[in-house]
Amino acid sequence: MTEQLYTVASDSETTGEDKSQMSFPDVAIGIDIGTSNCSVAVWTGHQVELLKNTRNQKGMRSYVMFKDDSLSAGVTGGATREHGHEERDILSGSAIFNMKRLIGRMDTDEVVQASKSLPFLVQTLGIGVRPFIAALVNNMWRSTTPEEVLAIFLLELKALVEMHLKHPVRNAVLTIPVAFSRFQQTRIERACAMAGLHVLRLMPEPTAIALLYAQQQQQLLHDNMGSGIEKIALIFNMGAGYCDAAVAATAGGVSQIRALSGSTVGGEDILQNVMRHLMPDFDSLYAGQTMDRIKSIGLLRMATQDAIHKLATQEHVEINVDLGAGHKVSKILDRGEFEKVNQSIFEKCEGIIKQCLADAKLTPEDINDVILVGGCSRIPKIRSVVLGLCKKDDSYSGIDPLEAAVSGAALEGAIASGVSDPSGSLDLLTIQATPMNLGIRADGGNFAAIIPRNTAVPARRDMLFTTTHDNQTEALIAVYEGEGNQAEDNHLLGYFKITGIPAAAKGTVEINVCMDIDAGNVLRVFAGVVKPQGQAVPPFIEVRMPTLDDGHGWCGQALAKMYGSTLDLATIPKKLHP
Amino acid sequence: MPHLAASPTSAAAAAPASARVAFLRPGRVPRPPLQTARGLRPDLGTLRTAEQPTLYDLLGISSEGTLDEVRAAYRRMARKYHPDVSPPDAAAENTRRFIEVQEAYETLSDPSRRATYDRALARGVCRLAFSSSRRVAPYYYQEDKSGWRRTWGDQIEELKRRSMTKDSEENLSWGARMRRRTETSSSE
Repeated sequence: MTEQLYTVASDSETTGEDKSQMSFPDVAIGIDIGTSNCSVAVWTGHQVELLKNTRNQKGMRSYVMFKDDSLSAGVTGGATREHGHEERDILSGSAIFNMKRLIGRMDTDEVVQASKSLPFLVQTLGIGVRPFIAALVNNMWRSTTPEEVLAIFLLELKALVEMHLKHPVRNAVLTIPVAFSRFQQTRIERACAMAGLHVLRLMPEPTAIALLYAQQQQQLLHDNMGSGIEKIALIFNMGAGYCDAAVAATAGGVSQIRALSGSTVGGEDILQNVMRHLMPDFDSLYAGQTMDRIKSIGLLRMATQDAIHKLATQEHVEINVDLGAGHKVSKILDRGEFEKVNQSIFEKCEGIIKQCLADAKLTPEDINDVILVGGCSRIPKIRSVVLGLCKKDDSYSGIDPLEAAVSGAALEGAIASGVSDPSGSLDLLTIQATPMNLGIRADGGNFAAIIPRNTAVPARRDMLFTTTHDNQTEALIAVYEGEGNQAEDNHLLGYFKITGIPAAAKGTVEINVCMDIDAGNVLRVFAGVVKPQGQAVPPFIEVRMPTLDDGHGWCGQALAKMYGSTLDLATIPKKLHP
Repeated sequence: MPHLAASPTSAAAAAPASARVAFLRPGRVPRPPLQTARGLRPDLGTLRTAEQPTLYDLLGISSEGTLDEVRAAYRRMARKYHPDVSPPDAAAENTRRFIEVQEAYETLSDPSRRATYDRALARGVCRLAFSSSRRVAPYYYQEDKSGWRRTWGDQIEELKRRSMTKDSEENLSWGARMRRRTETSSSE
């Protein structure tokens, strides 16, 4: 890819935005890269402000256009050219979108499989490697990666911010889905680094919204004491690619995340379900990307999106679209049918909310406010499911569903940057929580969780293990993240060996494995032999996780095949407390 | 910048709201005693004196504090020690303190764990013995004899100390340590 110069529109093209934005040069900006839309916000010195692009939009499409050998992202929507990008251009195969859905995933992932029906090229081998992704440029497929696409997008976004603020921008707080693995988080950080941005914090989207809620509650009560009335909010966020839930306890400006839960379903899945419902032979009809098929898919996609939007306010909608080659869709879709087609998705939403309430040990009556955000929060069925589970008639109305996450990220950026505000608007603190269990493989193939799900961050926990063989002098520490009871059901983050264990009967040597997550969410694993019997022991090993870069699906199997149980560790049982 | 320092008015306002004013110690921060007798860098992480702080001391409340008081104290301590609101130069120390406060809160905010801890405290046995983390599954047990003392830095310090006192009583054989541990367990 040749070096590109990114031109930004001059000030004269920004209507109503001529005034210079006062800001602190070292304050981190907030970025919400949604699967379909993104936004950026900054602390202006007394409040959070969302920045607009040259089309006067706060919400910008998340895509990069590769057409005609020039790159332009959805930040400006090609506004610097004669004609801006239209929806059919984005669906022509020349644009890559949904990068947030694709980033950090292997080709065995069902989300990647579902993405093969998108207009741009997604190829998979089904063996646990990265998918092949390409955009149509001058009638040829040109390969790229989701990280690259995201970096190009962020570069244009950064240029937009610097145009507004009139100074360079370096630090950013980005929102991520709860379901993002550490592997995916690493990818996001890499894309930011390619764009010249340093990630100060990666914030789960509901956590960012909880911080905004905490600020509002504090301003309502004018209560700056450490002991205010505690309010509990359930936050449900569903966008195009993910849905998340969180339970946050708020008092005196402190937002404590009690529970987090997430799933990889979103509006894109709903869209795909409806498309297949309208065109039952969708998969056979659109196998293989020809120009006609790409165009046809684009037409069907636009018609389906339009229908789903209308169903938010109408009971039924009429769909008429000519897909070419003799294929037509002429149908009236009603809300009941729509809900039936997507029942499995609504059940998943229900599941993560129930898990959140259970993890927080709360009943629906304990919830004070239900906050619904994200584009899909406008779907009536979603609203009735969430409000029904929480036994509420209405959701909290003080938060804009599309701007909440990025506003919270900008708040966190200001707080973490050390900004102080005399009016007290930044007397806030978010106590984040880990969304997944973290631990190692032990006792054969079992997963021993050392830092359990929903542990407050920063965190440090350790666990004692012991050898499984007489005179065992080495141990393999394989670090996993996830919810499964078997190690292989989880994400392998990395591995290392402890060597120089004193030769002794099995079960007599004590090996400590400590996991530390710092405020920046960096995970480090420390491991080594403890309580030596007067013998010299090697130094502890410290490893920052994840260490794996690619093919982590393969790596776990290779480790098991190569070492079997020779380097296994066992947990040390302890008497249960009464 | 410590812009979140507790103001005197908030401390004064909080006291009248409590029915047990005499027992509240708002703002009191436990300070581990310095141990310079060994001529080493002060070992703030490993407390060896009889006056080890209890979990209540870590939160700055009395042992009769209600659940609401536990939560309020936790938030006050979080505002002091969470790295997001810490001065950069104190971030490392404050992160360690935040983790201690977090563990104290987790134990004292869980009624059953608190009851177990209170019983152990009343017997004067191993004051921080029950501040172990919440168990994810019954199959996996985490040995955590003294809660926050099991932190990483503490173990390094302990290893250094042991290596300098090879004849120390704590360098007993595994069997002797197991027997001693069994005796300690049976007395609980």
